[in-house]
Amino acid sequence: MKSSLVAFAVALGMIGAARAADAPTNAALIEDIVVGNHILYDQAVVDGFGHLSGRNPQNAGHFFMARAVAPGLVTADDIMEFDLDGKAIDARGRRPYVERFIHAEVYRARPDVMAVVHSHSPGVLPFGVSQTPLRAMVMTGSFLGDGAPVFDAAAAGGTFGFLINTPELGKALAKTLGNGTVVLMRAHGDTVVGRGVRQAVSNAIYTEIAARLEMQALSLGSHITWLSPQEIKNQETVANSPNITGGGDRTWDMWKAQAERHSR
Amino acid sequence: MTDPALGELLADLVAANHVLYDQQVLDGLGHVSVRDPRDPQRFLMARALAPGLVAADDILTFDLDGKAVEATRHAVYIERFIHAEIYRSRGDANAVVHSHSPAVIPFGVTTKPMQPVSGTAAFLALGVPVFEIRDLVAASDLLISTAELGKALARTLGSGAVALLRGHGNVVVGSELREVVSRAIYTEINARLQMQAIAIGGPINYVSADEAAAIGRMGATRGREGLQRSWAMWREQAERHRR
Repeated sequence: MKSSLVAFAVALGMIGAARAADAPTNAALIEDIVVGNHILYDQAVVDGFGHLSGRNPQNAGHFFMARAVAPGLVTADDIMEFDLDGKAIDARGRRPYVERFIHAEVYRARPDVMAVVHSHSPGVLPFGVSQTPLRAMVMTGSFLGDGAPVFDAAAAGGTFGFLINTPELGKALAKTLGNGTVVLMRAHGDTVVGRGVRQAVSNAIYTEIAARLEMQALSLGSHITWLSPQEIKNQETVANSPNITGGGDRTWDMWKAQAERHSR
Repeated sequence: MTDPALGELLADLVAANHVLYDQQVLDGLGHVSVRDPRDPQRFLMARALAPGLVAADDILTFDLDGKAVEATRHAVYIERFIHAEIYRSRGDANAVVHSHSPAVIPFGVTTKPMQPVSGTAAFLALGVPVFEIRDLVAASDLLISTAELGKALARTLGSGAVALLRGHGNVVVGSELREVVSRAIYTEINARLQMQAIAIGGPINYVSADEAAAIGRMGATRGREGLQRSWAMWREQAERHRR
């Protein structure tokens, strides 16, 4: 709702007037994208591959993401702006990620999404190639609901490994994601969304943790009590309220401090 | 706060936060507290902050209703009732850790009980009950956010050292701060080792209740030396990793 208002205002040339007082400036957003890349690397969600983007709060039809570089090495100068066709606004010779269509098409399909993480999150991989759903078992992974959907690029007509290298594959992926937070990608990885960069990063980290914990619980070979639909719904309220658990700055500050320490 | 013994306890509480984070028992969430030596109806715990970032200035004093004794402009942990109600019901508990200690989670959501596979976690032989919040609230957000839920958790814990919270984490108690830190760390280690023992297959020869009792007696006489040895190492390592 808010983002469509912003888009309308942008069309009228009212960018400055339409900007909500509490909306982060682009500089703050770009800083969070840089730090988020370093955190995801430090937490071993991404390796040399994977990417994090944030929607432009002043123009819902644009998003920011690094040029094709390892996430652990991203700096502010690497951050490019793209439209929802995956076209760079001001490339200045910088080469973009082949899979930018993941981000573009998720932003197009989901106005509520303000940030996207795509990774090869290792603990998650087994759930993309087996019949066992990755689902909400622990509080911090409640957004997995009754099971994250699995997207198969090969079945969707992909011919470039398992890469999402066209708008069509991006659209098909976004369709499988639906209204969810996480979509698994067979033999490839996953894509995780959030209402902001910090929440998407947190969701990506806790998806990896949830996957490891579910594998361990399955290995104990006894009945598992999953979160109930109502518990999942109540946790969503908690996760979207500031300074309680997920989504708050409490954990972000810690991840940031640790990533900075490790990169010295 | 001029009492030198209290100053040392506050420094230990800050260090306990850093050690439990460094040992990956706590992440951005979770908390550690210690009973106030000046008043057993009070306890000391950080304001709502990631444990790895806690400094001495962040430590607040709470009463057993979970109220901060001095008004604070900072947010406090929602789940402080875990600590308050355990201190109320357990006179022998002088330190409490609540964590999402990862390896322990699978035992909270399955019917497989946690049992000690190593003498370092013999205290688990007291039994590790699982707290099911659905027994009280059919559709909760899983958080121990009221005194009633804190009391129910304390009842489930009983006289044990560790209780698991289904789909959430665990709570560990000790007679002193350094002991609860050690117990929380060895609870996490035991969970990993027990899962590995189960994965190997076949019957498991767990530490028996008698063996655990003997280790408990040994701990009462010679245990402090071992505790100080480990504490010095954990603390040094956590400080080194912070530099």
